[in-house]
Amino acid sequence: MGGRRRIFCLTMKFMLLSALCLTPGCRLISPYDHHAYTQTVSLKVESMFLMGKARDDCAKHKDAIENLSIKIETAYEYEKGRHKNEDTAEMWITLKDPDGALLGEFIRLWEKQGKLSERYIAEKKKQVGQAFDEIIGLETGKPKPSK
Amino acid sequence: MSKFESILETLKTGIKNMAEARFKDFLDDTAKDGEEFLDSIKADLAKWADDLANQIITEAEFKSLVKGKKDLAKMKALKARGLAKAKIDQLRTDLINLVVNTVVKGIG
Repeated sequence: MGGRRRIFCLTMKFMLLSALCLTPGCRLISPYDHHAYTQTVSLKVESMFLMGKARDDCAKHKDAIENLSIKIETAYEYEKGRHKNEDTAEMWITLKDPDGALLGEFIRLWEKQGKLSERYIAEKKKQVGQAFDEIIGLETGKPKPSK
Repeated sequence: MSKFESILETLKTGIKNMAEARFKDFLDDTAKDGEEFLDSIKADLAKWADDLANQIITEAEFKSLVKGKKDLAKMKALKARGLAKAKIDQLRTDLINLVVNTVVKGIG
């Protein structure tokens, strides 16, 4: 009986500790967010489409560039606002940084050169596409939200 | 062996198996992804250097592509870090279930 009581008391202590560890503050990463996932997929498609236009003069696509830039910033702000979402937020920073070497830099180079070479566009689309896939891959790997 | 010691032994084995199962595949996949990425760097650099020499791309574009590889490596590292955190969170949940089920079965 003593042994059973001991096991019961230990289990109760463990469950109390576990309940505390399962509260949102104890999680290491944010749960999966479907809005974030669909937003990222949509922005990947839009980015690929716009990048494909970079054989044209940048001035012709000024509005489209501005629209995409606003959407990218909005997505970043959304990710930054999610609790325990630092890794995803940092990925968005890397993607959009005009001093980096992904989407932000592509747009900056397009604006600077006026037009970009076909080969560069094709290769950079691969890189930016992969970058988006990494963000999507992390989002889908996050734990499903508890009901 | 007392019932309590028997429960602890079952838990030790269960925890070890659970941790191995959770992380082995993750580590294998991450290592494989890293190797493939390193292989791609070598092939791409050669191709882009050739394009630059033939003036198919500009110097600024060449630099951008090379730097892009570095940023992609950073993206992969951030993803791996995030997924590791997700695995630990899941392990905690599984651990709690294991303890509760083992103890309930053990004292039953």
